[in-house]
Amino acid sequence: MATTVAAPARVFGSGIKRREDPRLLTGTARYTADITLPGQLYAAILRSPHGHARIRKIDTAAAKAAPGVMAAFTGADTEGVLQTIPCAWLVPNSDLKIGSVPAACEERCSGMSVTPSRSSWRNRPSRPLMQLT
Amino acid sequence: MQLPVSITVNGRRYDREVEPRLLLVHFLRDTLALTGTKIGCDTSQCGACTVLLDGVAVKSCTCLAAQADGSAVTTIEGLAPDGQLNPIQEAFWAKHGLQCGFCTPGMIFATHALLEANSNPSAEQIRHALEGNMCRCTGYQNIVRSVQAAAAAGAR
Repeated sequence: MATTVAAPARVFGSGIKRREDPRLLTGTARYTADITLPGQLYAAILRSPHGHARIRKIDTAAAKAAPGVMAAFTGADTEGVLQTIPCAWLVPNSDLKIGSVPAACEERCSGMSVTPSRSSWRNRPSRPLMQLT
Repeated sequence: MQLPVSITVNGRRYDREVEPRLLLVHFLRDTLALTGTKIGCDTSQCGACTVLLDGVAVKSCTCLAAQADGSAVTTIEGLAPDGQLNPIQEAFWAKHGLQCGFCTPGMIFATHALLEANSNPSAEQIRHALEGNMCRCTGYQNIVRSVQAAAAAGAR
């Protein structure tokens, strides 16, 4: 096949064709969205529309009742299961400071619904069904 | 409601029943499993889904599968069916016109459309012609060089 790459005689000063390019140029590369497996599910994530706010309640009832939705998770489901998710990493012994952690992180609020739709674009309706106040 | 369509893709005819709302890009990716055509934005801005529809470069997310009934579509899978890259693909490879490759199929068809209309475009004309195609690896400089190399090689 004409799309293999021979090792160059020298590296510096040579124009070297990338070995990974043929599959990228011909549409045969597989990105995550190109993968289809039996029983594959798709996740939709609902984020807070506010950068810094207190979340009082997330209502997942309508999302869970929607046809095709397998589950809906919120921060409450991760209580005692997941550690607090760090929003940044501070260099040790530095005097850098982080203010209050963003609400989305503090409350572990990211609501998520998972649907068994065959295609990700078909699961859109389940996302607006989650009510975040 | 299902609509019967007959669409020839890369020289092969497909007769399928589709929802009227089904986009051509979803027909290609989901119905035919031709995933070389990419969806980058959902809003017709990024150009990753560009294919040839009866020889014209179109964003396949702006076209319904039903609109392509009776038409011939060329996707990236159809450009090098025997493993021999076409001159535009060769030029992108030689000039490092891609990094992650996600925008590349669309870039190649936008390039094809440009070179069909103008076989010797200036760098400015290339940038103008590719303004509907986004590259998030910020590879535009080498993409322009790739198009220039393709033009110099007589690519269409």
